[in-house]
Amino acid sequence: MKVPFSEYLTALAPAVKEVINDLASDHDYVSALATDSKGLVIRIGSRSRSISNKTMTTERGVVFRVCKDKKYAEYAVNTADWSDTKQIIKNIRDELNAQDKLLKETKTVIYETGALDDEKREFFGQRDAEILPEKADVRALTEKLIAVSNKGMKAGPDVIECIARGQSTHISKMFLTPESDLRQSYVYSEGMVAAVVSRDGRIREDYKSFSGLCGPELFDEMEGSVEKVVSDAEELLDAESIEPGEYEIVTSPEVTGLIAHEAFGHGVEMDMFVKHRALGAEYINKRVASDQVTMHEGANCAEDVTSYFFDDEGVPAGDVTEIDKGILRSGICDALAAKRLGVKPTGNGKRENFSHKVYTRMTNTVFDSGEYTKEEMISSIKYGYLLEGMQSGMEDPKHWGIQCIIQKGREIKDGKLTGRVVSPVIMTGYVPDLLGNITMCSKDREIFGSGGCGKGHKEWVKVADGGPYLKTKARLG
Amino acid sequence: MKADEIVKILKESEASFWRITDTRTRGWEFYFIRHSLDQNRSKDIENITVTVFVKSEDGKGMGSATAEMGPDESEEYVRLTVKDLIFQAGLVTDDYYELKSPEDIPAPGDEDIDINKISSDFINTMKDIPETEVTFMNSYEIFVNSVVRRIITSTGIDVTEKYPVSLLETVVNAKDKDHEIEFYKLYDSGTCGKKELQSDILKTFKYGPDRLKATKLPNLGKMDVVFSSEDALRIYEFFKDGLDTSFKYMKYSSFEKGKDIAPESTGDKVTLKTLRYLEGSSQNRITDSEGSLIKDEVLMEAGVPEAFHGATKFSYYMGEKNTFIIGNYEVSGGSYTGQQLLKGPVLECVFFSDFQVDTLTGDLFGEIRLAYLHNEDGTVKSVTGGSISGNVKELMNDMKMSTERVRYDNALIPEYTRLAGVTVTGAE
Repeated sequence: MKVPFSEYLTALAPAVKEVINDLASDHDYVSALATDSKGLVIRIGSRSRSISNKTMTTERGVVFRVCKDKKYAEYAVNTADWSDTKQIIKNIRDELNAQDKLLKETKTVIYETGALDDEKREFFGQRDAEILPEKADVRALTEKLIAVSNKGMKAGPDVIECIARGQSTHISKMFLTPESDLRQSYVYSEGMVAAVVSRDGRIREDYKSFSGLCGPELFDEMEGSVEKVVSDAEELLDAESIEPGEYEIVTSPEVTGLIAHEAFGHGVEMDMFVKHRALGAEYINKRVASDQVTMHEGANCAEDVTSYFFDDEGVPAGDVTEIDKGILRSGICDALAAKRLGVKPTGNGKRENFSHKVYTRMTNTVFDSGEYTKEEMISSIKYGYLLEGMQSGMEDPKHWGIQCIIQKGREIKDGKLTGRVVSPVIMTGYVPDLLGNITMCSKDREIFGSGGCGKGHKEWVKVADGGPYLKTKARLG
Repeated sequence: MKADEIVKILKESEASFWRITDTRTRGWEFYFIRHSLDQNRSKDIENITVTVFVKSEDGKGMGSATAEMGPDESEEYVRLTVKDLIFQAGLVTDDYYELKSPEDIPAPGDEDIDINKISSDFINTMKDIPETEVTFMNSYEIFVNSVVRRIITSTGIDVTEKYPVSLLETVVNAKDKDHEIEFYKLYDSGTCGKKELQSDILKTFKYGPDRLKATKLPNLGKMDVVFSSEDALRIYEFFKDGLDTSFKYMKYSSFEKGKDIAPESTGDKVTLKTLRYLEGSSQNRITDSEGSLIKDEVLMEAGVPEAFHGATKFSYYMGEKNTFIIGNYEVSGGSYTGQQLLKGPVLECVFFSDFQVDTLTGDLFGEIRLAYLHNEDGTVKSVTGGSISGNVKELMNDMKMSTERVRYDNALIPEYTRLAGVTVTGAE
């Protein structure tokens, strides 16, 4: 079925337009993003369970953006009485005038930026889903997840907890300006099976995540993964520490995604170009990786949790070729940063929610597939590791350093897996070295959308990333 | 709907118990590129969270379900949501627990929070940072919020608190003719502590030239590492989480009351105490997020757990019925001066890409952006790249702490923490 658009937003539109038209009388640019997104989270453990309607992206509110005399300002609200638009307009003007007064008192200089274009546009987009989170049979979904957790608890002698979590969000967003009216609705869902194991005072945890541009029907996929999650976690109880050094490695698609995200995801967010915070700005049309490497970024380049029709600034979703056969071709850009840099926005302007600022953010960040099989890649290694499972990552876009915390490494000796496992593994290095050493990419690829991404250490948004197995060299510790 | 109207609906419902948290946030934000204003923002947001608890028929179990709603939801929507929550809570029954009853809560302060004044203080503080040709502010973001939070429960709790919450994000750059580097930092606070902020930013300025001339970290194998920045907090969070009733109930923590957590330890032992008030903290509250009274209480004395803390549900299970969720805390100083702890050979890590301690497993790891290698002969060399790794469960057996302490937002901890035998992976 087509995912329905919010009735609340439909009813709200005339009042929001009234406010926009009033503000447009003395501003050079005005827009509003109105959101109404509902969710469902079911978390089942053996000893603690809960149900909630709050996911990372559930929200309801409106944010107005204005530009006057080359200065941008925003007002976000969900406390307004929409039957009294005059009061709302007064509140916006009073608040922004009070801030302007403070800026004058502090003799603050403005980073002058021209008004964004406002072309006549109308759009109404709906994705498909089988089930909506707010209409789901919560009893059936809960029973399904209880069965997953129960199965995990019985799957191994060292299991002390097995958590099954499923969540789903129905997004409705409306972007309005004096000239445009864009509306979209879609549902995305996520799942996770995690096992915690303990033996002789040592505790380890492993998990498998699920994600998709669909409804809670996604939860059906989870049960089949339980035994592997438990056996993977139990394997970690016997894992050893890695001997620090540089190794040949094969990265699993999850680790490949982490590298894509940290290396040339954050590294080419072009609001960082405006601030001169990214080395990538100096490397456009220069080699940054081996010729095996092609990388795409955009809401249109895959179907996952962040595959919207338009971004939070009303810019249509894109598909940017960031790296083409090792050459850095383009970054990704929100509308304001694009205006400042004199380029076109790429549909990557995202907010944590309506009450947060827009930044350039990733959507789907994905390495292209290659021509090898995983087995061929492993058999080509004299001594090294197959890296699996990601915990976290961090980039240094000014210096191109990268930190990836990886769940485990499987030892490879003379082209074969030995069965020895090391954990955890910290992979560090210089991005052009890491990508420059890629010699093989597998034919298959996977995309993962169960995580969140911060800008620095805040502003959390949904992203997805992935790619094929990669063979390269890296420093592991 | 207003919270009081939701209370009426809940009282008429079949919920066994319920809790409402109504949070109104008025905020001002200012974003700067160098010292020019990128944009300014204002917000007026209210979030109402309703949790419904349903006792099982046999009285041995309890389930809960939670919904967040905006202030403009209709009565019909709220009634339907409450009905849904009661049904959902019945699907996720855990062992029975009781909600807290009202305690003798001191009257919260009612002073107005002037977000204009606090914003002005932040803007002027940042303008007054003395920059050099080498080290300067690349950009910064200022967030100032006035929060009013009301918690109402079916057991009689009805407490309203008003407090400021601020956040400053800074990016400090340093450059020479060859390259440019940056240091990213977040400062959480209540209001603007100008003196502390400027002092810390200037400390970061000092790191700039050192990182520009830093050489690659050599392979050092296992060696002593000193943490002398906010990253040390991650180490102390291992102890704080180990004292959490949810960790204990889930069997994630092996800490036991009256039993030394590191009997073989040859170093300093951790003494950890909760604090209701800590000057400058963004977490100064009389009650926690469930309406429980926050107290000053010793949780761990010289490595021996004395009490656990945490949410009502898990605290009830663990028999810690008078506890609460930690806001502020302090760790007592150790038996060494900072100078003693920096005696070489030791690697003093001052900036990581993202230093982490997994409080479940005890694993610690981080890529080094700047560290100082203190040699035995007293010489010091700045190094960059590479990483450290280890496990706190093992490393706490030789952990030394300085007598000097420093505050990072809601935690007062030893200024220098030294761990022996950390794995150091070089970048050469």
